[in-house]
Amino acid sequence: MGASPPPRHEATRVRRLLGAAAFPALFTGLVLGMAELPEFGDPASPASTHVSPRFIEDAAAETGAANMVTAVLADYRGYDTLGETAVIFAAGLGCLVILAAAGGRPNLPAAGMSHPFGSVILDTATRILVPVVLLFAVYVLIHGHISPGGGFQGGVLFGSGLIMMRLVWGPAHEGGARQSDVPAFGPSLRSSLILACAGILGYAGIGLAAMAFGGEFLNYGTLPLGSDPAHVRELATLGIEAAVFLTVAGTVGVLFDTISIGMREDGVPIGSGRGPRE
Amino acid sequence: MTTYAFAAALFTIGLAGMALLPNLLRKLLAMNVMQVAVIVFFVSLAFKDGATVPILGQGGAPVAAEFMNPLPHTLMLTAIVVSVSTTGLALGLLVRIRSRFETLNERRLLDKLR
Repeated sequence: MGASPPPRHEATRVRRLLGAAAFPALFTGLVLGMAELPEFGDPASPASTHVSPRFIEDAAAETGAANMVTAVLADYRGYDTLGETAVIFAAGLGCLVILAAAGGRPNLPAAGMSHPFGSVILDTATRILVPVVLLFAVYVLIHGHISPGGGFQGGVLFGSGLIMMRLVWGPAHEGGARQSDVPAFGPSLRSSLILACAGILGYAGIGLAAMAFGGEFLNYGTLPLGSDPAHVRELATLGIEAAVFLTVAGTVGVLFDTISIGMREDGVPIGSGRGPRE
Repeated sequence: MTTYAFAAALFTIGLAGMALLPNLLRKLLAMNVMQVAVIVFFVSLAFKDGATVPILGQGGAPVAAEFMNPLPHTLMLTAIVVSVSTTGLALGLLVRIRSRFETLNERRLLDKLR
């Protein structure tokens, strides 16, 4: 481009103003379109009358899960949730490829922040807080049938507990030397990845086991876990939720570790060409 | 109606932020605001007057009018997960962009790519 810079910036300013003017119009259009929607909270709205009563009335009897969201998520729409878990896993793998692998680090050395925020107050607070968070994560997972919760929520909670420890404690020290690939607490990047793989393989494995016992893929009713089909489905749903939990917790760890090693120890981002290379 | 308008406002703010903000990280945050708008919209569609959360309590057979619609909730659980994944992946890309070009400003990036 040989053109002088000022006209181009003038042009972008006009374009930006025109663009900005489009958004009030968009908002007006959206609100006008909403006039056609059913009243908020209307029990006779189409969304509440056609399909959903079937799930509300039959879900608990068919799947043994009092929480209808869990019943729909892990049982009726189990195939969709398998894909969703794969999406999370793919995001973790993507981050790994974009950051860790492209940085040319064969041994995946990552153990949380290179500069942890440690202090006496933070150390003490995490010692008390993190065990409770991790325990609550498992509670949320196990009680996903009968109360709000499930694998996704529990997994994110568990991952957030691990991230808290990585933020405050950072990598482990051994004999005064920083073990750059071992976190002070929780799984390393490699273990997180293995957890995530185990979760998604376990999910698919439960689906395939249902096929092996004569049902369709992810149709848990045929699994030989008891005589009451609703109870069998409840157990299988718990298995699914545990698999999702592993994948989500592992992927949260992978995402955090890969993003946090984007910064090198001296604060210079990897691949920037500044500072000494390793 | 107010909730729908609120969702529309959030959606517009998010989309405007994605289009107009120069910094890529801000664009990403604006995209999250937009996703939250969609979630608010769907969850408000699930609301029914006089109904409670879709978790069966003690008692007899469930009646559809007593519980909110669980399907939008399930769909939005999916949407939240997708939003977390896209945010994580986008953050990874941003770290790479920042380390390669030393800026996240869209115009400066375009100048450097020229």
